[in-house]
Amino acid sequence: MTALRQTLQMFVRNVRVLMRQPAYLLITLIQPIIWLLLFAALFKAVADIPGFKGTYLNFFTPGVVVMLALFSAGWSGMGAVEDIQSGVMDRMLTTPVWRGALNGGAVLYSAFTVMIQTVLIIVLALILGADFKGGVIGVIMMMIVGALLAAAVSSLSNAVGLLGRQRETVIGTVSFFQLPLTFLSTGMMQASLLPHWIRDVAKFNPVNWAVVAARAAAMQKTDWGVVGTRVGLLFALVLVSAFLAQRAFGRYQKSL
Amino acid sequence: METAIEAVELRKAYPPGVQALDGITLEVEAGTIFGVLGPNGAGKSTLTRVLCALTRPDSGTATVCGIDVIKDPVQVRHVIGVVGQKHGSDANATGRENLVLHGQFYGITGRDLRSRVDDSLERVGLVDAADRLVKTYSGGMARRLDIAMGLLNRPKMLFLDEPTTGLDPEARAEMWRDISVLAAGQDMTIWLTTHYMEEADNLASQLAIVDRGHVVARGTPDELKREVSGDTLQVELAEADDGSARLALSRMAGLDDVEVNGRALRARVANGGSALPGVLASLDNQGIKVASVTVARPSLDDVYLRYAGRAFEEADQEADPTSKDSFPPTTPTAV
Repeated sequence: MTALRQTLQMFVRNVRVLMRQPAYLLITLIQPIIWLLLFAALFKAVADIPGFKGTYLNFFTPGVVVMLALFSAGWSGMGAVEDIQSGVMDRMLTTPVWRGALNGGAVLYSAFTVMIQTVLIIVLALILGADFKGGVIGVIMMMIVGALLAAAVSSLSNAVGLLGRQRETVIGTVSFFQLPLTFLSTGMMQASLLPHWIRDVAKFNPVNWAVVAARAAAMQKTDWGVVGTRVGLLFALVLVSAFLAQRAFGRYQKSL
Repeated sequence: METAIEAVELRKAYPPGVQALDGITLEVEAGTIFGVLGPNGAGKSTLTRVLCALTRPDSGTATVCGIDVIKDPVQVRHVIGVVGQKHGSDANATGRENLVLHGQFYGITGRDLRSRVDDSLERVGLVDAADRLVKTYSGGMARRLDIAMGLLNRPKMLFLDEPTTGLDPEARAEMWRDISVLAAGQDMTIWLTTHYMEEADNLASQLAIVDRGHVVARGTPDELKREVSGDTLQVELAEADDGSARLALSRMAGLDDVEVNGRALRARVANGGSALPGVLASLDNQGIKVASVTVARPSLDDVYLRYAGRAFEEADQEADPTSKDSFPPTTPTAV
């Protein structure tokens, strides 16, 4: 009970910081809009490639949701670095606070931000004429998928922040992975049009699990088999990542 | 005597091979201010972090208020308060928000939490600034907020790790007053690490001098100073000595290292106060007129020199830059 309460308290701390920085709040809200408009316009012609099924907007909307989850949660570790450098982390660690709450608050915050951003994308996509065949339930499932990926990425980013303790380490590591993971998925390009090796690699890519699940949930009559397996995998990843973040706290404290 | 801290043979090394703690054994009596004095890189902060259960030693054991810091770190955290070297407050939150979240970490909730937060804001004089963001606070105010956070859980043992480093002289003097008040008012033991001789001398009732991961001396500041070959007696003569003053004092028992340089006369003596009348009488007998007399007690600088075998400032400069105890070099030299 205390553990859960402290996680929520850490979450509230993060939300409050976001609210106090209007510029950052604005960027967080505008970014998804720009992405969807820009990418949908840029890749419109992809839909004309022989073998591509449907409109690019329908195809790409789940891709944007997942990319946002990956990109915004990726910076979560910056908060950990900031707390370490300012002394806040060590002060928190001298209290009996449940260690999981320190990571958990940031994870919840990442998941929450991505959900808000996803709502914006969905509204915009509807205006642009996207067709969510999965209905309300399918769309909610897509939000959950985005939040799960964000939660896993946030834990991993926090772990990098705790081990590296430098902004540069987080920036370097996160940007090293972001684009390759995006392109090694079916987020922007239909699987049948991808080179074989990428299709093979994508099977092991959590970003692709999320894209496949989001698409199968929201953009067609929901295929619960596809969604269920991928969500299961993502959920397992959330747990493994949280465990790794806990280990990183241990390593950090040992090195103090 | 009740023991607040008992540490036995604590060792901790950091890669690459920096032995921050090299077998530290010490005991702290409950209800006192225990000072830990040492230059940069001596291991003070590492020792503090081990005792706060913030990090684990490579070997050795320690208890705080009777609780084992290695086996039962969570219990230790409940009974201690910690004010670290760096500010521990979140600059993007208000003073009050910082205190509330800190209290929640101890599982304090509801009305109890609100009243504790109000009390501690009042106690450190931050009532008016309570709802301002900490980034608008002065250095002294932020430090007082740190103290308020350290006291929120009503600790039995308060750790202050270099609480005045980086503060201007005025804020430092204020902090000294606050620490004295804390020590007087409560049934609390205070652990104070410092880099300033003056601070240890003023505040600590018991002192450990730490150098290169070892405790090199223990005792009250006065005991430690007494062990360093006595006081220095300085006599200024009305006229330059023609040799008779030196002769008169050399014959006196208990005076060592008599040195005369023009009108200035120096000697070392076990107890300056009790030797003084004899010295004056003996000079008077010879018809030598005295302009002024001073008796200087040895400073902790002398003590440090004696036990660590090097001057404090020198040790400070030697400090390994990779050391965990290093600070910005901008702090004024108050040694």
